[in-house]
Amino acid sequence: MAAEGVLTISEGMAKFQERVSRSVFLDDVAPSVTLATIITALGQFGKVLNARMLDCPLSPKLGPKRALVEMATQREAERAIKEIQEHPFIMMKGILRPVIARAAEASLYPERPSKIRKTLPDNGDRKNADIGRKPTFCWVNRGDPDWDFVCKQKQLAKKHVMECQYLMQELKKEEEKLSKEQEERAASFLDKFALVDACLRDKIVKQLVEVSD
Amino acid sequence: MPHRATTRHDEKLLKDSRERASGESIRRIEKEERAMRSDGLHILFSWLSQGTFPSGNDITNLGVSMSEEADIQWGTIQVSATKANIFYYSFFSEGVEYKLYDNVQVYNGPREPYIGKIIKLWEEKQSGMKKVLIRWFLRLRDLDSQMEGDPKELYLAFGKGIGVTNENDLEVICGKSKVLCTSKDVRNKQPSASDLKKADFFFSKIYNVDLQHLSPVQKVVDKLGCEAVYNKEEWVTETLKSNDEQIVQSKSLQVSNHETLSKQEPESTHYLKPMLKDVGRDKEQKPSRGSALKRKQVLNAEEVGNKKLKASASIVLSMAGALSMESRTQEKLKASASIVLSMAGALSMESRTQENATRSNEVIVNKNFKVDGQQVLSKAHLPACTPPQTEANMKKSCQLADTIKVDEQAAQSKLDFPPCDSLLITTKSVNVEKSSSFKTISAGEITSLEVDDALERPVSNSQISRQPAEIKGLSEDDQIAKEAIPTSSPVHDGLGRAVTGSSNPRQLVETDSLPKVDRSAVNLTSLDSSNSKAIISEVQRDPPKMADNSSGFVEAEKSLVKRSISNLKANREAEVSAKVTASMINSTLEEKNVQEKVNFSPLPESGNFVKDSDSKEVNLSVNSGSHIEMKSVPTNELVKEKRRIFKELPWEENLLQGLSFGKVLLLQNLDPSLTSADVREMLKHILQGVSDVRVIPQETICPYGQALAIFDSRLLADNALQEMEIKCLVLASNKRPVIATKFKEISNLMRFPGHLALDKLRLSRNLGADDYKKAVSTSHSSQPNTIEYEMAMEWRWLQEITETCQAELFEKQKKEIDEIRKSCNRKGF
Repeated sequence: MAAEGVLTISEGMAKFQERVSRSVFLDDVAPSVTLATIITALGQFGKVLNARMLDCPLSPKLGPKRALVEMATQREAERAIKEIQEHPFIMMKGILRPVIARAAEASLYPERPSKIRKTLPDNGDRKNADIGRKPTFCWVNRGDPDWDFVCKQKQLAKKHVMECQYLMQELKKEEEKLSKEQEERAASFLDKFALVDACLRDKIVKQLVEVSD
Repeated sequence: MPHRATTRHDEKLLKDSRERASGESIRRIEKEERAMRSDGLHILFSWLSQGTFPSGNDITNLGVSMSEEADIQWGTIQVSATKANIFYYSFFSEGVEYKLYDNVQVYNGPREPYIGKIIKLWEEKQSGMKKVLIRWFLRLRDLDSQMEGDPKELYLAFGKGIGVTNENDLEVICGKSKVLCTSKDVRNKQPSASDLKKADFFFSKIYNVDLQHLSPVQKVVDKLGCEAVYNKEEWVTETLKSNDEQIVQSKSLQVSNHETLSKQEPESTHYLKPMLKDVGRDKEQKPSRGSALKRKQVLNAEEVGNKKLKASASIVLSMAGALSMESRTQEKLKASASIVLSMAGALSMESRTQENATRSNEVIVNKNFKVDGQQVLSKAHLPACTPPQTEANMKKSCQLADTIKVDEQAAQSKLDFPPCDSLLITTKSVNVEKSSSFKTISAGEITSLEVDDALERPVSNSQISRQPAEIKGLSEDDQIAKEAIPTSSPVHDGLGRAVTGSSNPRQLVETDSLPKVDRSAVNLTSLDSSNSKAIISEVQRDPPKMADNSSGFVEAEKSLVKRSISNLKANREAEVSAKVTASMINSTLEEKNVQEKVNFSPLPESGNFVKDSDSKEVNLSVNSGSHIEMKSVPTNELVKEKRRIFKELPWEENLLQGLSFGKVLLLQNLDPSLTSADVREMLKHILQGVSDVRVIPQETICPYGQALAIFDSRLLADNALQEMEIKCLVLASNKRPVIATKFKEISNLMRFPGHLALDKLRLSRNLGADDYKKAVSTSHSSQPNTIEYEMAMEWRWLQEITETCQAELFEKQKKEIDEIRKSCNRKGF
């Protein structure tokens, strides 16, 4: 896709791609995290020019959020991605689920410029005629030669969507499970710490040492 | 006295369109009016009588003497009549109009006035007593002194018992009260919070006196009648003006009508004076008062009009008044004549009378409807129509010729008609048909309609059959706003036909008016549905409010004035439209080389409120192709304005709104490389009613793109969905099918997994709290020697799993797709 796109990149497109190249894509951002938090957090790695949440209406409101952060330079972006990937990066207190950082992709921008040229080249010297052509939808009716083929594809696509949804569901369950487990563990850790603290405070440890001596 | 006389005339003009009196009753009214005028009585109509009413005068008769009664005037609209009583739609008291279902204050001695709703208004024929039936609003303390509640809340009395309604003398009403219904019913015009604040009272419940309990208004609204309970637009919007103000307004109206009604009145306002002076100058034979007046006005235009140019209701009103007068004096001339003439009609008429005065006079005196038709025609398409005006005998052939001319002209004048102007004409012509078929609608009302339509602000229209006209006008306007120039030609075509139809009222009116209405309705449907929907809803909201009366008129006038003033500031749209009309007229006249008329032309459209030096410019610019420039101004203006009004909602709001109405489809299996704009364009070509499309941003790892498509309505969305189920929507280039599902928002999770409730836990820790806080409140990479790190790593691990799973799945899916393609593909995809 990207390779094909090269042919038709206009100036605006080049600009856009440059912007994409120095952007960081953050996934699994907790819903309580605000843009300001993100900007501060990524500020550790360089100058943040712009940050935005990718509000996806498909995802639940309290589900993990995604964000795009535009850094000043591509190097900064790369560094931020590397850091966040190498160390579990915790965005906010209490949220142990680290954010995922990846290089941004053009398809993440809802308003990305179209790769399709508005006008056809004046001569037919383009290697791939399809790129220049505006894509269109058309109807395939029952009885058309392509009907079977399209139907099969449609079925498959539906199946795929279902599969994807199922996978997501399962993964979500896993997440819930992990979250619950961690919570319990954290609680028990805290209990343990509290116990240790109490021991220290009440000088039980000292007494024990004395006794053992 | 002039006050009253003119008010009466107002009322005349404002005949309620809902009550279509028969032609006979009109005649009767006219007779009576004449009689009344002669003997100076203020009662308009002879009284007939009717049955009984629940009586129960518990309100004291205030002892208003009959001399005071003179302050109370009936409105013109008669609802019905029986042997004993005549029922009215409205009455005037001290310049304020009270209508049926208005909420009023009722005199209660020194105490707080009662609040009630006017249910009936009538006059007893025998005694001449003016009566009103009031349905009471009850205050909370009336029901139960112990109960507590909002002191502004009222309860509408309901039931068969005593004290629900009372018959009273009209004089007990001492003022209006702003009472708003806050019922959530869709038929109820919902008041805003600020409206409620301004309101004196509000109500949403009825008190059933029989059962002695409260119940919501919705339950009984069907029994009481929707319009009797729910808010009228004007109630909501009106900020109860002080009586003075209203009086002033009505006076200003009176003034304008004054001039038309009683030409002898010398004390008309400053701007009308010149007109009256001109009366003496008019040497031509005057077949009828109306036409004479018109001539006067045109002559006035010669003096005044050139200096003053502004769209003004008053002049239109006065015109209409004159014309309705005329139609009354010539009994058989129906209202249509006057309507037709109301604006440019007067001018065309004038031109004809001046050309061959005898002929046109003859025609008018002969009550020849043909003339009216021609006037319609000539008014709508002045340039085209003037040539064939020479002979009185011209009938269909002539009209045909006219229309042909019109078409020619339309081609030429496609650009000449500014949107608002053509709109005006369209609505006018439609109205003309209506009025001629119904024969009852007075000129004034039509004028108000025209005025309103021209303002794109339908103030009044309760007649269903007339709504299409309005809708048409408006939607046409929409269209024009969108693509101003191309659409003007169909408009003209439509006009041409409409005009031919109406030009032959006797033969065609009855049959023609209906198809035309249909036509307009069809036009409507073919137009941008979202806008037209908005308009329909607007129109639907209108009927209750429309009950046309002088206050409506006043409003119309006010709004017009306001509007035109604002327009004067902002490029003077109204003015320009007036200019254009004037220019059209002028060009016609120039064709005929009638020098005088050139001078007249600006008058009918121009008012006299504001001086405007531009009018001269108009006359100068008339001659040539400068029309186009002039027209482009209003067009752009309109477009801009429309944009402002129909500003697109932000995507998110749009989506949320759409979701709640089920207007959103989720499209899946799109080519991921497609952008929102691409998909939008593609969909709009193939599906109806696509409002907006957004591709859902996702990573390239996902092999299929998803998009959300918002449709204009739920129905359209469902249709599209169905269509996509039955057939297959595929991408033309690679036959990739698109699948669609109704998108419902995924239910919210209770919380974000992975967010440990450490805050709560932390409270139990009393050690190192500060350090802890510092450590976690900022974003950081966790260090390997912490619990946090361990847990975060677990999440990392899960994230890895997720990614791998997705990748695997997509890989697998891709393979499957490839397989299918291979097995089925004979074309080498």
